[in-house]
Amino acid sequence: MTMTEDMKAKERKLKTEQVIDSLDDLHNMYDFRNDFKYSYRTDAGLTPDIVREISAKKDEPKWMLDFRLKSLDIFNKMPYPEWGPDISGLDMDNIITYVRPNTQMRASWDEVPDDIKNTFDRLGIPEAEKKSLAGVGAQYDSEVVYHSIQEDLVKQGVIYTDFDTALKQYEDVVRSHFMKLVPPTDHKFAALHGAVWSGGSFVYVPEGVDVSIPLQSYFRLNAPGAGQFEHTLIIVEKGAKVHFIEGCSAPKYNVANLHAGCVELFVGDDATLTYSTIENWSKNMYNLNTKRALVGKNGTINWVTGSFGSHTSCLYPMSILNGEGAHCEFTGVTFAGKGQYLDTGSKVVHNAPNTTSNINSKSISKDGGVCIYRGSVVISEKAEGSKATVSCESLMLDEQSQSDTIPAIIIKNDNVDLGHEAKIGRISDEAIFYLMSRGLSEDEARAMLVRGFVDPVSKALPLEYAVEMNNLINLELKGSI
Amino acid sequence: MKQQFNELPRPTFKWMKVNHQELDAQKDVKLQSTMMRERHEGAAVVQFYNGNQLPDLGDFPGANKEVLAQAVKGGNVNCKITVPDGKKGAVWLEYQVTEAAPNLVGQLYIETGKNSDLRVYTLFEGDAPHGSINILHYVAAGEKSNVTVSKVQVQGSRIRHIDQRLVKDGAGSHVKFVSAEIGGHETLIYVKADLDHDDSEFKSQSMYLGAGEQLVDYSYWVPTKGCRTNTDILTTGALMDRSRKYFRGTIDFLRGGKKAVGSESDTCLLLNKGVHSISIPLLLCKEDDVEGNHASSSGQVDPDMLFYLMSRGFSEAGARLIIVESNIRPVIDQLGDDKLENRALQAVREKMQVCYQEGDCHDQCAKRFPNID
Repeated sequence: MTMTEDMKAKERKLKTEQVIDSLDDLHNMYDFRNDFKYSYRTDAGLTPDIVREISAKKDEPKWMLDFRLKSLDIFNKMPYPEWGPDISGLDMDNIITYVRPNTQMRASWDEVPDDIKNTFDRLGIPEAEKKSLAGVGAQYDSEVVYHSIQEDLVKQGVIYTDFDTALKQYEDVVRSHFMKLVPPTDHKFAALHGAVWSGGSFVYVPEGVDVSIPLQSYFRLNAPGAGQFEHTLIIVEKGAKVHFIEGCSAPKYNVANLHAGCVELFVGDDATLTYSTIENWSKNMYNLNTKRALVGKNGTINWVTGSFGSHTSCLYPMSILNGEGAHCEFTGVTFAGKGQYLDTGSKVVHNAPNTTSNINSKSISKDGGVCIYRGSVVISEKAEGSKATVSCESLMLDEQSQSDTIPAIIIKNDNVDLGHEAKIGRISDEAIFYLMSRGLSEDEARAMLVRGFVDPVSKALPLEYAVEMNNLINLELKGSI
Repeated sequence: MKQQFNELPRPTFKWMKVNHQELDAQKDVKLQSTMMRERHEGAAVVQFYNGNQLPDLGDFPGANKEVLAQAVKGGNVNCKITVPDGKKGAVWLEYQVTEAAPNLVGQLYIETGKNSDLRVYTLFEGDAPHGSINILHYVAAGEKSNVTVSKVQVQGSRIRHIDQRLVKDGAGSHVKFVSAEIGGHETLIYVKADLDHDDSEFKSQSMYLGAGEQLVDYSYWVPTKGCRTNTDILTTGALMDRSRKYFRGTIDFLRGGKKAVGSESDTCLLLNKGVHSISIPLLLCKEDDVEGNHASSSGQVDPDMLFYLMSRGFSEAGARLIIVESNIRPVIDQLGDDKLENRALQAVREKMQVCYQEGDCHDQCAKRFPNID
């Protein structure tokens, strides 16, 4: 029996409804909240006493308390950045900088309190661990509540633990690396991080070890009006290899939340680190995160990022290519919907001969969302024979949205090869017409083209995360399909 | 005291120190009376004047407040060029800095009637200690008129050259600047083109050649409000010695400016160590139904190309010259006046120390490019 046009239309409608239902499920997957329970929290605001309180609660060495107080001093003296998005809605006097959940760090899911466990179950974390992860860390508000790593990796000397444990067990390593790549003097929110950091992950991969299955840390911020300031430190020694995945989410509240984490990555000679992030913060979140990598001779840093949620984001992962032949690959997609201002990009400093970098950034904006690509490539006098390519493409889905590209390129060496290109525009009418002539509705055609647009980013992710990212794109496109 | 010039309309990371250019304020800008050489053809009317004849400049920031105020006040080389509706005209102006008149400040006010066609050719020459040029172009293009301003700047190495340009479009108008920036110590170009009307077009094609401690700083800002507007910005050139080039290009697609097309391109050949090439091409977009592109590239002279040319009998310097010329020639060819084109090419060759220092090469080049003096 051949299908009539009417039957085809009915089938399409049914399919669309199924997709929308699944998107509702997906939306619920991230946007649910638990009761705000905690065993301890500081008062809102930022004072030396609060900083002392956090440090005392964590039983930290004196040097760390001194570091925190010094950072607070820098924070108080430093002006808010003037070049970026408006962050005047963020009132630091109303942010709670430390919330300890009502549990200790556990190595077994069974011991994690039910409400927190259920949160991560709904986000699919234990399931992902069983299927495809070599280690998992889960942070709930300000503290890590669960950490595990496969035994065979431990035997090879791989360390994957929460940051508080690292500070106690590997104090010398932490002290020699902590905030060396992102000093508190770098900017106001780096100083804030230095003062109130809490939680996060520590990864050490010894020389020559190839961690073939990814490690993942997941950050969930449940407390309204709170900040999350996790610190991630990854050291990949010579010739080693690892893939680290970071996921973030939070329920939506009607007060501002703040995420000012810090990621410091040390990639040794001939080593490879892939750092993938799917950020899906709630729409009341100010995401002012700092990520930086230092790459040694012939080392590689691969950044794969998907930025979806948050009210305002400022996120520009930076790669310092410090060893000869070091390489950086940045692949990112940003999707801004209604009320969102996502100012993202990538920074690369070529600081040694024959270094190479490829930046490939894509952004989509709809419903009045604002996407900014802000990037920089600096090729120093020392970077003889370096090559860099930058490509940024922006897609606007309607006339209320905004999309800007602000790249800056500084070249201080004659022996370089740099190419940069950017495009801004909307989905071409011809492409939509073509797909519609093949039987798709206009909305389906539009969604298909958006998925095709971000395909290079999806391909760079492990399958499970590519699926998650595509689901997030579908979620953002809801209403259009 | 330092002054800031050519501020980016949307700043980027402060640590990169590229949001503006910082230079010492110029002291002792004394204006002596001077005569300009002028020639015109067709229906163009040329009038020299004192004081200010420009209309309100609106939100035009200029290269900076001080130099804009200086030019708005009016100086010693103010000139107004008009052409009536439906007529054609051409004007040649020569700005000559001398020790007797080391500072030239003025307005070049261009106003064209409906369906008219005007070509303005300017030549900037001469040198003097603490010499400076500060010219404010104000182009009011009439409906469906064509305006082309061609410029060759071959001033001496002691000159601060400031060129501020404000373009007001008419519906369906076409405004084009073609420039060769070869001389001067510091060359600052600040351009704002308001494409407020439908179907208007703004084009800017510029070439530069930096040597010694020279600075070339371009800043463009093109807000497009009209429908179906077209913006095309190109800078291309080469840097030698310790010279620096800044390119700040901003195409600003404003809401409502549907079907606008804008592209900007910046290409730089790096001829030796010590040069700095800075490129900040911005696309700002509040309208979805537009097409914006920008591209920039920087690199050395291709060694394969150099080898090929040298295997054909050119010296290395001669081969480099040919490669640089192939890069800048598309702009020079658009100057539209043989004398200006030859002047620009000659200055490029002198600067690259080819031709006049190496007789054989000059002969070969002269055969290849017979219109060189």
